[in-house]
Amino acid sequence: MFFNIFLFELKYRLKRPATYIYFALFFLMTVLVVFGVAGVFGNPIIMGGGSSTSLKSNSPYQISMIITILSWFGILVTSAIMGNSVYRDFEHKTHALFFTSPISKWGYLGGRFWGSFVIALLVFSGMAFGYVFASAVAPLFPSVPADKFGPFNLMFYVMPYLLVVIPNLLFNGAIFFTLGTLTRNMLAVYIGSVLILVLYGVAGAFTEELDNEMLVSLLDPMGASAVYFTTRYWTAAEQNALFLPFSDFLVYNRLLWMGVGLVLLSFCFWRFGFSFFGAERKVRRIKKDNALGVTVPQKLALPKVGQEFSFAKSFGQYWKLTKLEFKGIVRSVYFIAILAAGVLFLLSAGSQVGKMYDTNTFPVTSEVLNILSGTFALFILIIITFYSGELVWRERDARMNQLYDALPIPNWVPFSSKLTALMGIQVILMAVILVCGVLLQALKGYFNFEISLYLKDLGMQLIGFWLMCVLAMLVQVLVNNKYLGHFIMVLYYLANIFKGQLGFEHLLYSYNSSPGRPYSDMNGFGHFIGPFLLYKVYWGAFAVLLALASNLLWVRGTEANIKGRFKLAALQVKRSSLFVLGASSAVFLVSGGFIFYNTNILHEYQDSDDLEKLSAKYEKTYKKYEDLPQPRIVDVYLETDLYPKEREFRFKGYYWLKNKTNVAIDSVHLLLDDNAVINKLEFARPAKTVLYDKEMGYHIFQLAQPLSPGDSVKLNLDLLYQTKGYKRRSYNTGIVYNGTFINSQLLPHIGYQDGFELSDDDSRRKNGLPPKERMAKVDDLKARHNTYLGNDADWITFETVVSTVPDQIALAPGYLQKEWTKDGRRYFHYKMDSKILNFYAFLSADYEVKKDKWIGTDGKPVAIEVYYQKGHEYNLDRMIKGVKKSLDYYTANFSPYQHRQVRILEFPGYATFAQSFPNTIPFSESIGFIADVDDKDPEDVDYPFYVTAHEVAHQWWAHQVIGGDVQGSTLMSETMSQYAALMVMKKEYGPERMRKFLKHEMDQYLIGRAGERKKELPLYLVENQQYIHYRKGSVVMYALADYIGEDKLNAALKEYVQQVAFQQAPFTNSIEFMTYIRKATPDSLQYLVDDMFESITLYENKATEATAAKQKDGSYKVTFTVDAKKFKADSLGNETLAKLHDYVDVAVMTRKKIDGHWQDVPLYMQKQKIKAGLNKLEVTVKEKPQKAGVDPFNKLIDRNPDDNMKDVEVKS
Amino acid sequence: MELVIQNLSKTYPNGVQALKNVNLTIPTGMFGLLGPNGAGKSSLMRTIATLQEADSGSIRLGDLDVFKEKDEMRRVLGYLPQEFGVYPKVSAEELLDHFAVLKGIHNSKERKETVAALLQQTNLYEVRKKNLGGYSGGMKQRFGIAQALLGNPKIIIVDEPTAGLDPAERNRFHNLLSEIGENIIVILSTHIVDDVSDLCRNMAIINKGEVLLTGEPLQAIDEMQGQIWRKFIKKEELAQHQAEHTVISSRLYAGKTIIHVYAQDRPDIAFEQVQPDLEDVYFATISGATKKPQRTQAEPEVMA
Repeated sequence: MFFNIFLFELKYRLKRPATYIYFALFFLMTVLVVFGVAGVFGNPIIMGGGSSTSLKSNSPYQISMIITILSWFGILVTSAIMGNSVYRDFEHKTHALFFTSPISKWGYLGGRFWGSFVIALLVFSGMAFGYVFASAVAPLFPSVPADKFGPFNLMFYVMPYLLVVIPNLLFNGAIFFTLGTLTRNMLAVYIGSVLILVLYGVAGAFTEELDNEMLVSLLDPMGASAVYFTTRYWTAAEQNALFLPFSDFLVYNRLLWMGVGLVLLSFCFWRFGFSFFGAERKVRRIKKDNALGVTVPQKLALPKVGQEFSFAKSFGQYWKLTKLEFKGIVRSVYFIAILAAGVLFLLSAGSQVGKMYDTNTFPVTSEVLNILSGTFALFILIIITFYSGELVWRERDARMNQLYDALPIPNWVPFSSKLTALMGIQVILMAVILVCGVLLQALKGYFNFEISLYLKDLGMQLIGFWLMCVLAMLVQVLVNNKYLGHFIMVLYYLANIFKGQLGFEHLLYSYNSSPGRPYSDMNGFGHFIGPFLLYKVYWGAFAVLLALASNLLWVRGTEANIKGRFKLAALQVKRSSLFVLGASSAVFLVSGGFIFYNTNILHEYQDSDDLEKLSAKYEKTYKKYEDLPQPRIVDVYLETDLYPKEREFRFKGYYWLKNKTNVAIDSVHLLLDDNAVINKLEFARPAKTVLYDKEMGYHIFQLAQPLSPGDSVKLNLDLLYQTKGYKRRSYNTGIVYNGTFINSQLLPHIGYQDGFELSDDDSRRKNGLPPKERMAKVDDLKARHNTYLGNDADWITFETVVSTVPDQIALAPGYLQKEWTKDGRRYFHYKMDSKILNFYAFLSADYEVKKDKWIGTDGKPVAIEVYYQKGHEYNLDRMIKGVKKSLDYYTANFSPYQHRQVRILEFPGYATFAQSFPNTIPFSESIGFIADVDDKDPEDVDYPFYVTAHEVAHQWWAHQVIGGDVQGSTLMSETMSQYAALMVMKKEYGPERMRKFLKHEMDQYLIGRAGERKKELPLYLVENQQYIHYRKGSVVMYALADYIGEDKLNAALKEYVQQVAFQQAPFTNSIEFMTYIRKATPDSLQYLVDDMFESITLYENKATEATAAKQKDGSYKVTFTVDAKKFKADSLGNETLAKLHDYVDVAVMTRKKIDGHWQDVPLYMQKQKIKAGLNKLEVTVKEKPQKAGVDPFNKLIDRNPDDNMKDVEVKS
Repeated sequence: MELVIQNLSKTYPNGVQALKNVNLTIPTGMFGLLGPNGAGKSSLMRTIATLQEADSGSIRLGDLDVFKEKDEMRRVLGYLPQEFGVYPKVSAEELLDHFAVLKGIHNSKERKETVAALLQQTNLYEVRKKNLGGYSGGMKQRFGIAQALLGNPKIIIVDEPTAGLDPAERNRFHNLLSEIGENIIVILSTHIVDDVSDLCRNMAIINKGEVLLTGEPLQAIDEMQGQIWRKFIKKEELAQHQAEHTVISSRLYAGKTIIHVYAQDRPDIAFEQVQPDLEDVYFATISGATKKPQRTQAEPEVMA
């Protein structure tokens, strides 16, 4: 019986076109994605995290990632297939036939389920076939490098199916099958898919919490987190070689959810009965039916009624229908379910407002809005997609369409009312976000509700969702098949995600697009609001056209084929529709034209391909001048006029250029941003322009009399930067209404600048350029003649007069000489009294100022000033404390501070960094000003303090010590700033509080190396790779200080600073730096320097067994085993086992409550020699031990840091 | 006022020809459209009710061109489709009121009165507050007629309204229809001959999209006078009789098979003449016997 039904199901499904359509969809999606990854469409896209250029497109990692990701989108297909398998008997009313035939419940349900399951699996196999096909075809494209594909291996495909696709199918299938079977309602099936997404999202929100990885992994029913945790640290070599393993994460997760699936199926089996009506759908029949003809009047007499037909009356009908449709949605249990799921999701996501280093920010309205709108958008799109279908099909689903269609209502009424109702729903959803946001803020004890910001922001979002409503309705009307309509919408959402990769960048042909409207507390919506609204007007007019089309094509009557509808539509076109058509077309064209004028005529429209070509052309044309001797900037004087309201600025002043070479220089090459209007750019002595390449801003001047060695020449300049209209997306956020932040990049550079060359090898190859090393070799003496900040200056003197509007304060490096107001402008004269790097910035905003002072041991004061946005007072004290503690530590341990002042200047959160200029630290509003640090919570990181300490450290490690333009130089700036900040932090908060931070750094390093594009290098050869110089740097330097002693290390650093600070070319390199480190390191630990700085070293330490016995004297004897391994990795991540005979912390810990929080406290911690393999260890401690093992604070780099310690089994 | 249908033809995209050059003139009063399942009745009804386009031909209601002036047609139309549903969670009164608004009855007092009157007439008044989901088939059908009567229509189209009703319900329904049919056009499509003979002043028989006969039922019966013969036979003999005679119908009666045969003269001695009724007219017409003598056969179902 089972087998018959199973086979029938297979045969039935194999005859359905849907089966093949789904298969084809999977096949095509996979082909497209693989083509994208392989680079058929241009630059390869990155899918699933593997970003190395050496990653093969058919590596097991890439295959499992693509198949996993695409199979998530398959949820809809799963729901359609599995939800439908019993439901269709109810839909077609064949259930009575089946239920009365002598079949067993198992035969019926089992046959249907497994039949559908096999079909679903077949459909999903489209991905594997698509992959194999694409792997065979993609290499034929010339843009795909020959080594992008490796040989075929069946197991690469089998494993993701075994571990991801099949378990997911079983779990999802069980849900959808059960829902469809028991509720006999297809919408319920969709709710199921929403709930899965919610669970998935909730697990995702928890991922932020680093500590409960197993829980996160288990909570995620799709296994995505399990896959992530299993593969996150895989290097390129591993990605190419390893296939998805049966890791703990995966095995437990898969078993759990397959189990849940089976439990669901048994529940379904148990609940299911062969009854005509669903269990919960017993309709209460009206028993009493009047005896016929008894009370009925004999004569049919109906009151005469008046019928009125006019536009006004039709409008009344439209409004009434709108209300009806609206109520229909709002009251439907499914809407409430989706909404409830969404709110749950909102509140869980919203509890993690603004996480950074796992530390919350204050729930300021803009942050709350950000996080809530982002997570809720998915639910809104689901609601739009589903309810557009429900609305369009409402009458037909209730089989009332013929009644409705014969009613004397104008054609526009039904469509418009449904659309309006759907749009009304969006208003409700926005209100839900508002309420949840205010609730979240209140729950967190934050009561500064900026309701007007809520209204503005949500109002602008609302426009976008309204436009989506129109599109969804059009799709439903056009395809005239609810499920196909849903599917097309989902494809549309996906296409939107990938459109950039496919080369569709211009917003003019991307429906509902806008150039964005980032919000900043400092600048509000700033100048973004105008273009945003213009785009919305443009797309709004287009949406009206879409709505008009949908209305004309609306199915009325039984004529549903598209040809007939077009014919009918043509007949229907009346004057009013022509008027709407004309008016909205006019608005569409005019606004579109205006946008085009701005993006393509006022500015040259360049998409990313154009920009790449330009870079390539620059290199091809001017690279030949790279080695030409050029003078260097030695003095800069600028009158900088900022016009924030007009978004213009002007530089007027001069450079002094000095010939520091030993040959005469006859021509000077300049590179200047091509947006600058050049009022003046001329030498103070006779010279003629030999070349002016406007496209690239390249100038060559020939001096009438060559500049002899040691001689100087003055370059006068007067440059104007205007903001004309706007560009497409990322238009200038430097000069804004409030919070201007521009830097020296906008001024002329001397000589050929290799920084503008294409750096990515794929892009270089595409543009006919050979691969290029990221940086010059560490010992390249020629390259060391420049600092890594620029090749046109060493140390300069700097003076500027900055002017701005009267209500703003303008700032630049240097000390304020004078401030005055003239002609409605406010002027600030800054002058630097010592030499600085050629690296400066100008800022202007309506600032509040907080002032303080630090007195050095020599009695000289340093002024501390924080310039901040009103309302952002939360962390000013932390920052000031950060400055003071930093100055304490750095002056004591490195060298004196070269300036008399430290200024922190807030700038809008369009970028999230802080940057150190001489005596001046611009600091983004979004990385610390609104942080909400709980000093009592050991898990919180005081990052305003830390970032301040890091930036202040740069005044030494970059502004005193600056490496040459070679590999490894950021070791002496970024790594050392990290180290300095860590030490200041440790001193302030104690070593225990550092663990969270270091764990984060380790994790980021390991993830970073997995995402390396080219090659990982040892720390001392770092090529400006952030995961190395920041993340690995933190871990390594902290450990080094621990191993050789902080004082000893600092003494070495001090010596080094004294040696190289403010030096002239050639500039220092990491080899020189390492000699100081080596000198401070005892012979027994020299291996550490090799491991940490000069190679890539990874430990795999694990405590395997730990027991303790209580001694007579009350102490505990702890016996434990540690399994240790050490690996060396090459630049691609290939590992070899290394000899291990190292000092490692051996520790026994207990847990104690400190300040109300549980913390691990060591009872015993000593460095002991550990060898490779098993180490038996024995320690006696006074208190009852909880854990024992090695390296509890993760000083050594280890991919499984959590297994270093093992719970102690106490035997008494 | 008359409804005039001229040269109406319609072929569905799947190739089925639902209407073949239909010409009909339908006067005020009840008009019965008789035909087997799939004859094209519903297609014709939907076309009149503005729900479907025709490939050619025209329909005029008085001066009104139904195809070109759909809105105007809908204002005077009451339509009860063969199959329809209701919103299960809405009460009869609410839904009827809702339809009344859509029919252009904007005066709320009038609307209230007419809704109440219609619910009275259709005997739903007592259950008017109950949700339609709990209605029986007959109650639902009566609700359907109530909505078709909203707004004093000039033409009412009811498609197979009595299918699924019990005899008492059907009776009651007929009374209602015949009263309505006194002053306006009521088109009733059915495959039940008695419905037409009971109710209709005029009728048409339609099969395979073609109008085979139009006129008054009594007159049609008259014309068949003396041409219908009856015989009791054994079941096994049916095939032979069908081969030899124009058998227009056969049915079981008390265990035996009675056949009706259409013939100008008594076929043989075993046949007795019977007084024809509309059923004989119907079967004789759709079997094609009245045109050229031939055997009846099972017609392929025409899905429309």
